[in-house]
Amino acid sequence: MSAREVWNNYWFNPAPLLNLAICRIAAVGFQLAFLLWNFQYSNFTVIKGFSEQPDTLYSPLLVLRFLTFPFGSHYRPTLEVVEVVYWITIFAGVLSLIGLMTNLGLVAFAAGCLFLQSFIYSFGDFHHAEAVMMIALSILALSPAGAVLSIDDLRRRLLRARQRSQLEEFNILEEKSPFARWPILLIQWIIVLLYTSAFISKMFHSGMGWMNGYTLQYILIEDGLRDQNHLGIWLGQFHTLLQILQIIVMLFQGTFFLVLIFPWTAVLFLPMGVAFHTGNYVFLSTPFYQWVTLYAVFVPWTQAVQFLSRFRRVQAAQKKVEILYDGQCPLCIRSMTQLRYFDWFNRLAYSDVLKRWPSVAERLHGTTLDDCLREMYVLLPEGSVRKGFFAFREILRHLPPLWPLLVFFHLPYASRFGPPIYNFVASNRFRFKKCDDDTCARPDHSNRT
Amino acid sequence: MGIDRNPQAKVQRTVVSFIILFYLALQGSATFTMNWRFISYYFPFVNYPMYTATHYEGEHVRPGNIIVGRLDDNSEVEIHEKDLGLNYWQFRWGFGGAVLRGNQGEIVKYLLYYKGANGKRFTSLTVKSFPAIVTREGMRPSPPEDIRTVQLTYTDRE
Repeated sequence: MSAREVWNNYWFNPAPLLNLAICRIAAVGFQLAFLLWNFQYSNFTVIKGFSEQPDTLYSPLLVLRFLTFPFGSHYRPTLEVVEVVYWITIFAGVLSLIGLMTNLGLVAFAAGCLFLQSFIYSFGDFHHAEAVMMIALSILALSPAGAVLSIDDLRRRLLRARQRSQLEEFNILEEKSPFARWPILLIQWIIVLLYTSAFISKMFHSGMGWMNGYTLQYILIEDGLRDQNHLGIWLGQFHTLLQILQIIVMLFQGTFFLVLIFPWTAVLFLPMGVAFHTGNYVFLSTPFYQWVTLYAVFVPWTQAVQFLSRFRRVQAAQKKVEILYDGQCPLCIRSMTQLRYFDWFNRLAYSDVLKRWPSVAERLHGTTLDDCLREMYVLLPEGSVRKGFFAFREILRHLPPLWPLLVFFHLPYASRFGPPIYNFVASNRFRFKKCDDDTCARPDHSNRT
Repeated sequence: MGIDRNPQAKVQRTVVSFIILFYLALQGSATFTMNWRFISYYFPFVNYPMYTATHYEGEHVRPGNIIVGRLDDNSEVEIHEKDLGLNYWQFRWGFGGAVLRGNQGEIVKYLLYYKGANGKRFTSLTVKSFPAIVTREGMRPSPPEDIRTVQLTYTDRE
């Protein structure tokens, strides 16, 4: 095998797009929350302070010079400019998170975050935690991170379903791309290089002597006194324990690269990493949330969901919840496509009620075909039937990605007010959606009851 | 599904390969560059040299240094970050670091703000430390001490 083939096999072997999409949501979701929370409550005060500082203290980072190059090499953004960039970045982040114009949104979001962070760091006050997220976002921006789990993708599928006038079989867990692997691997490499850097720095500056216990005592006492962190000062008393912890830290940082060679070792390294960064936060007040968030790139999400899916299917004896829908109604096909999009565990069966009616009519004793066309009916494996609002609530129970919506469906009085709201929407649904042709007009099936 | 052989995919793979090499080269060189000053060129590709120094029993921990300045009217004032329009880290690492190193040029940059706000100039700065000592059993207080004094001279423009 030539070097080129080895390279291509490593970086461009087809991989599940879901892994990449989940990493996008984790990274963008975190960074968006960070911007909204941290900037509003802390960084804007810092930025306002910087805006009053003399030019002699302003030493723009190279990347900031690059980003502001069109405005001249000595351009210094004003507070107003920074605020405008901030709100554009927030908007781009929301687009990236929901997957609407995903790549464009990600490019703008990554550039905006880079601008804001590099501006903050252009006044001699520099920290490390944020850098890795900037790199990860820029990598995601160049990847097909919005190919699934995005509004872009859902719209593509809805359009195809409309053009073909039928519900298509698909499962986003099975969607693969030769360009879904490299971004995840590259972020893994970056994280490995960061830990390696921390390890090499210690070895270069101090060697094995660093693990003497006193080093960590010193650090805990210094940072504890500075930040008034009494937990850090308290931990600083336990010399032997701290020496053991220092050895573990060195082992962790020095061997983290093994996750690239043996991916299964992530099972060991990720919990260690979470414990390491949590400990740092609690005892040293050093927040490295970004790093822990980006551990998402080491998790084989698709395999995990498929494993859970098999487990749940075995539990449910492979019986599915059956939804009856009108196969001639484009709006119903659209709704079923949307549900199928989130049916990762393959828990639902979608049946065209017009074809299925002869076999289910007896089970739906006292119900006409027209009733089934008027509102949603769901047949549960144990034989019971749900309709309308309660059918929809039942469906949500089987779609874990939509579980957050269950909160609204179980609010107090939801059972009382839910059905009339559902009925209103169901009976007026043809008015809500404009159709190109007359296919939205519900056919009269009353003679078939 | 194997590697796609069509020409368009080949071009895409080549472009992406250059992107991968670009990122790896930058992060790799940042990783193996020990000099902290290069950060301003590499960011967001940075190295991680935090907490690398070895410390020993009996060493002084100095988290609570204060900086006292003598003004040209011979009075003494304790200088806080707000007096210089700085935040904590700029004060500690930027200004505090410059005083500990005795770097006149850098110190004067920070003091311009004070002169502008108060119309006064410092003639000397002293770093006073309230250290603790690292022992096997934890922290032990130590008497305060002056660890650095810098006499300041100015050019006409300063």
